[in-house]
Amino acid sequence: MDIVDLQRVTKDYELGQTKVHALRGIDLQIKEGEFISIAGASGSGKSTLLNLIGGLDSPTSGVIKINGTSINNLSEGELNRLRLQTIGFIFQSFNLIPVLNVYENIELPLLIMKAVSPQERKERINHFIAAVGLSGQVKQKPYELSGGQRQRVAVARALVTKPRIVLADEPTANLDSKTGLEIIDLMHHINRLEGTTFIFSTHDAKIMQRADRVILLEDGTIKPDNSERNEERR
Amino acid sequence: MRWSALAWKNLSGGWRRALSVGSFTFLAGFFMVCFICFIDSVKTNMETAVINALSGEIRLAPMGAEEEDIFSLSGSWEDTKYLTKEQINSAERILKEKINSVETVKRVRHNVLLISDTSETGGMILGIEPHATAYRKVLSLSAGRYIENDYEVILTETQAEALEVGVGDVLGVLAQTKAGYNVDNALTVVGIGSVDLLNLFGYNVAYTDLRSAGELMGLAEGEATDVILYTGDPQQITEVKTLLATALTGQQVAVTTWRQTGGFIMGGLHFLSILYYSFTVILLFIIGVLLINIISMILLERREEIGTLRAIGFGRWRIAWLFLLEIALLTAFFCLLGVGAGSGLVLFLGRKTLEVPPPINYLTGKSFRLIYNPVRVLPVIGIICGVTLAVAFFPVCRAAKVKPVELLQEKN
Ligand SMILES: Nc1ncnc2c1ncn2[C@@H]1O[C@H](COP(=O)(O)OP(=O)(O)OP(=O)(O)O)[C@@H](O)[C@H]1O
Ligand SMILES: [Mg+2]
Repeated sequence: MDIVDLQRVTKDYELGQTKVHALRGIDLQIKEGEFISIAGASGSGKSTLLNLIGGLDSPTSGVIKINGTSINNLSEGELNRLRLQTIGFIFQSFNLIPVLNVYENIELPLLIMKAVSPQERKERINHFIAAVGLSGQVKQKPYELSGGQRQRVAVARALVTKPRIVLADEPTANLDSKTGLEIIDLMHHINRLEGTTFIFSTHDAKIMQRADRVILLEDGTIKPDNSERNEERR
Repeated sequence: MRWSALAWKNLSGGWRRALSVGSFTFLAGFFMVCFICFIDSVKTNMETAVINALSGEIRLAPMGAEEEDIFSLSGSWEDTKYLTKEQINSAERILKEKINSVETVKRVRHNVLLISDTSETGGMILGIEPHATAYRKVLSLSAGRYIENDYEVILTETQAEALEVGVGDVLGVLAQTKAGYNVDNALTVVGIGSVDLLNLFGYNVAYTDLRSAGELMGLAEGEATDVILYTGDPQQITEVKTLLATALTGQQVAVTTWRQTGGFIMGGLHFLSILYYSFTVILLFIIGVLLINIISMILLERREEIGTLRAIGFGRWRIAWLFLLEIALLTAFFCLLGVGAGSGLVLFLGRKTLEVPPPINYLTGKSFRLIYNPVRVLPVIGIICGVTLAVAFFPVCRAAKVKPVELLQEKN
C-alpha cells in the first residue's frame, strides 16, 4: 500500500477576483520508505503540495490518502493527531522555539504524546540527539547554534515522535550548499536506517539529485518525463 | 519538561514582553489595595464617628420612632415621642441583668432655638448624661471641655460663630414642651467643638446635659427620648439587639442597631462604597483594554511559534491553554507583588495618625488613621487575576485558532 496517495488533487487560491490554480490535478503515489524530492521553480506549487500532504491545508478537489485513509474529511482534532503521530515537519527557517534549548526543543512534540513514558521520552530524545550529531550541544539555545546545527535540531524534533512520513519544505534554502548537502545526507541516512519516508522540496539541482525519486512540478502539474527519467536512472 | 516549566521559560525568555503585561497587573494590584484600604478606613472611621457621636451601637426608642432619622428630628418642632419612666426602668433592669454593656446613655433629643445677645439659631440639642464618654472619642473640642454638670452646652464652631459666643458665655434656649408650652432655659457654653468626620454631612448638633434637655422638652425625671448602648464588641451587636428585643416584648420599645438608624449618613457611607466600586470597575476596565492590546500584540509577535506548534500537532486548545497558563503565572506573580507593595505602604502609613490637609480632610477628618484589613485586600488578587485571564481569553483563543499554513506562509 502506498503511504501517500494523491488522486486528481487540485488547489485553487482566491486572490481577490482572480483564482490562482496552484495545483492542477496531481496524481502521486509514494511508497513507504521512499526518499523523494519535489523540485520545481518558484511558484510551481511545491509548498502547496507539501502542506496538503501534511494536512495543514485542504485541497479544492481530489483525494489525499495517508496510509490508505483519506484525510479530506478529518476533523481538526484528527488532523492534529495525524500531524503529531504520523507526520513530522521540517521547515525552511528551522522554526525552533528560541527560549528552549536543544533538548527541550526536541522534547516539545512529546509533551502532548501521552503514550510515551518519561523514561522512553528521555531515551528517544537522546537517541535522536546522537543521531543528528548534537550530543555536545544539548543545553544550547538555538541562537548559540549555526544554521546547520539548528536544522539538525529540527530534524531530530521531526523524528522524535517516530513519524512514518517526514515533510520538509526547502529544508536547505537557508543553508550554504555544503551544509545543505550534509542535512540532506543526514536525512537520507536516517531514511535508510529507520525506514522513514522523506518528502522534501528544493530547487537546488545538487540537492534534488540526492533523492531516490524527483517529482518535478511545473505550474501546478507533475512533469512526467522527469520523474520517469529519474526512476530509470535508479 | 513540564507545562509550567515551558511557560516559565517562555516568560523569562521574553521577559520584556512579560514585564509589559506584568507592570499593569502590578499597578492594578498596588492601586486597588491602596484605594480599598483608604475607602475602607474612611468608612470605618465614619461608622465609628456615627456610632460614638450619635447612634450608639444599639438604640432603644419608643415604638414608632425607630424608623426616623436620628440625625435630625425631621423638622418637627414639637416631637412628642419619648420613653416613659416604666419603659426605661424595665429596660434598665434587663440591661443590668442580661447585658454586659460597656456604656449605656439616656438621652433627650429636641429641637430648640439658641439665643445669644446678638443673634439666634435653630438646631437640634442632644441631652446626654454627663457621665457619657463615647461621644468624647469623636467630638474634638477646639475650646473648653466636655459636659460635666447640668445646664451646660457644647456648641459646634458654626453655632458659636453664628451666635458670636465663646466658652463661658450664657445662652438662652427656647423650646416647646411635649404638652405644647413654650419654655426657656439658660445654658452655659462649656465647650466648642464638632465631629469633624461628620462635617461632610452638615452635622450641627449641640450637646447638652440630660436634665436641661429634659426640661426643654417637658419630660419628667426618668423619662428620655431614647437610650443608646455600646456593647464594646461589634460582633455582638446583632445578638444583643435580638436579646433585648425579645426581653422587651410588649413594652412598646423598639430596639434598633446603628445600621438601621443612620439615615443619610448611612447613605453617605453607601456613597463611599459606590465610589469604591466605580473606581474599581473603571480601573479594571482601563487595565483590561490595555491588556487586550498588549496581549494581542504579543501574540502577533509569537504567531510563528504558534504556527510551528500547530504544525507539529498541538491542538488549538492546547496552545490557548499554554498561553493562558503563562499569563496566569505572570499575573499572579506581579499582582502579588503589587498587592504586597500596596499593603506595605498602607501598613507603613497606618502606623501613625496622619494630619490630613484640606480638601481631603473633608472626607477623612483632620487626623486620619489608615486601617489595613486583609479581608478586604485578599479578594483583590482574585479579581485582578480573574479579570486578566478573562480579558486574555479572547485574543488568545483567536490567535490559537489561526490556520497553521497561514502562520507559516507569512514568513516565507
Ligand atoms: N495563500 C495563498 N494565497 C494566494 N495564492 C497563493 C497562496 N499560497 C500560494 N499561492 C500561489 O500558489 C502558487 C504556488 O505556490 P507555492 O508556495 O506552492 O509555490 P512554491 O513552489 O512553494 O514556490 P517557492 O519555491 O517560491 O516556495 C503560487 O502562484 C503562489 O503565488
Ligand atoms: Mg515554497
